[in-house]
Amino acid sequence: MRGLFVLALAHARHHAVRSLLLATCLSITIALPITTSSLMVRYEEDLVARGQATPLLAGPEGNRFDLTLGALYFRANPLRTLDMASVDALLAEAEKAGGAVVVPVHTRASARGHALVGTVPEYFEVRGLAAASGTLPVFVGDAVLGARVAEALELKVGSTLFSDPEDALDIATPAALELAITGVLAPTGTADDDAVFVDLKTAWAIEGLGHGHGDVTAEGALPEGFVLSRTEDQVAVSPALIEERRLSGANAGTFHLHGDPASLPVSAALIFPDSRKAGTLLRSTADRWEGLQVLAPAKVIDDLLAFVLELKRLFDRLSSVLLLSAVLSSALVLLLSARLREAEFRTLHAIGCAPSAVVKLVLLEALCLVLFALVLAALWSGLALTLLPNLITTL
Amino acid sequence: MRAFLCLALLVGCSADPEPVTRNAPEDVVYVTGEPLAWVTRRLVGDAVPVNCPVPEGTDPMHWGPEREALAAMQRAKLILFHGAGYESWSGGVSLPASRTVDTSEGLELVGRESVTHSHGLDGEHSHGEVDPSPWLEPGLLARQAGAAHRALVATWPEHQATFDAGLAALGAELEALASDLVATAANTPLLGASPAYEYLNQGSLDVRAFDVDPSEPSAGALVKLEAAQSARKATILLWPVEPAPEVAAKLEEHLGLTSVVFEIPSQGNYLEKQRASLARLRAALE
Repeated sequence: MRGLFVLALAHARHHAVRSLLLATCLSITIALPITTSSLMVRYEEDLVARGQATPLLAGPEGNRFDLTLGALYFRANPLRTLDMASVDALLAEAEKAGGAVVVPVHTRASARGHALVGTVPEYFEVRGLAAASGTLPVFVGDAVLGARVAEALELKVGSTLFSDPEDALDIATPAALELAITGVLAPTGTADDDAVFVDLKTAWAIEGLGHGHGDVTAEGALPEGFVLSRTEDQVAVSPALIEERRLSGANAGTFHLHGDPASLPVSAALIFPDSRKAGTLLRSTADRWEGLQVLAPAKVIDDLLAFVLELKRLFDRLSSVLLLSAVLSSALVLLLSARLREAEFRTLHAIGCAPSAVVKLVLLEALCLVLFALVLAALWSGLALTLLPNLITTL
Repeated sequence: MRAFLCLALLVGCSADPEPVTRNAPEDVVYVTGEPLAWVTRRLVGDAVPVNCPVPEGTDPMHWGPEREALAAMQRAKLILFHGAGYESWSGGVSLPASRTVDTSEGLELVGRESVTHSHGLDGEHSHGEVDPSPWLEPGLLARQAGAAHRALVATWPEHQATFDAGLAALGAELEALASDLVATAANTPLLGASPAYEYLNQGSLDVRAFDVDPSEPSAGALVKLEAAQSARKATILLWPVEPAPEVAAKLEEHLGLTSVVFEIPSQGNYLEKQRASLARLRAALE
């Protein structure tokens, strides 16, 4: 038997190109379903974990998948916004229900193509985020980067980053705001690694709903060309006055919001009730409010996964057909190859090999090929799982 | 082949990122200056550490926190604000609203004269329209102490007995001060050189106040003072700081107004400063 094994290996080495091609074909058809399954498992685990880490989610009425993916993974969505009056009402209701942390998030802006999330300090606490270097945002105009954003943009504490203007060709839209990078978050393996975080007020400044400027009311504070009219108790300033486009510790105090604070927009509010009872009470009340929906993201993600798993079953069936086809093709190649080796087999018989030895030799050769293909398949799967970007964060 | 196997093993062993520990708030209360820091210390005793980030000798009304102070405040379990615009820097900073309590909420605040501005077609607005010192009136400070007490109890219910005892003792002292103030000047029309003095009206005093520069009063302010003096027959003008001697002399000579320094105690010991102001007022009335 050992002699047959040596012969089989010698044959494979002698026909190295043919053996490698066959093993590669087989390995790819084996690796494909393994990789898909592993990615699906990872996808499912990440989605479920993020969903379970956010007990309740309030947002504007509309597609629940859009709302959940927007609030949890910062995906752009076509939904309307929620106003701060609704967030305040949720807070008041949460107080009555038994307590909850309500965390508004604003996900309508971006910075160099990465999601720019306006939120409050409580977000970092409920998500367990900590700065690996620097500090979390403390002033309007500060930004803290997710670990992968910092790596991709090669930015660190002390760098600056411009928000993406809504429309660079429209001078009526607010110009980009220069953000001061004050921290980089420790990696978490979640969507937070791919986002830039700022204070909610900074997000509103980027939308043009607030700004900073020096004293415009004192005599001589501005060139007269900028003062349209002045009375004892009112100064009208030209819209041409350039507002601060970089807010930081030094001039953050000049920042102020315009309009009614209750009407300021957020994309959604994450809700972390103090108890299951508080969550149930809050959800049953707030879900009836006009224009608002309150979801359990874990349930939405379960429904989303049901679709995904259907897709996976289809992939599995296709992969099985592909594997069968590859096995049959390989068998054909081996059979044809056996025919070409008739002279070699006659020689084996002539030198005294039993008739069954030839069959064993061919089967051993096939076994060696399959084993090599399995090793290659493990390598392909490992490489794909490591090098492919995280599916969740590139949703 | 061996190299392939090693690579496959290495790839299979690549680790997920370590989970980050949840950064829970620290057991400390931050207060943004006097007199609320004094009130809070009286309420909590040794039960909870009280931090006031304003450096000693600095006027908290003209102070703004540094990055490090704000980062520390963000981690605190409770942040107490005087409110009413006292923390003029708060608009440009990021603090956890769920743990920040404005102790002036529900108080009737006194407006200040201010110049509004508009940006082209935008609606006009101004920055800071109320006086930030309601705590000048001891009864109002007692109400702010009540708000601080409720926040402390909600945050550290295990120390409620300490907080209750602190509030009772503090309340008695503030009530005694308020009574002294009423007994001294309840039926005396007074004038004030800062809108903050109008808060004393909520403690049953009778004060009409304007913004008056103690070193060089504007013509407009003098006209208002003259009109108020002639209508109210007031003889006392309260100043937050010592006015320039020539200003005090001019007001005495032309309007018959005696200048009395009645501090707005945003630094130092509140009770001592209020009692000193009360003594000066009493002496002037005698």
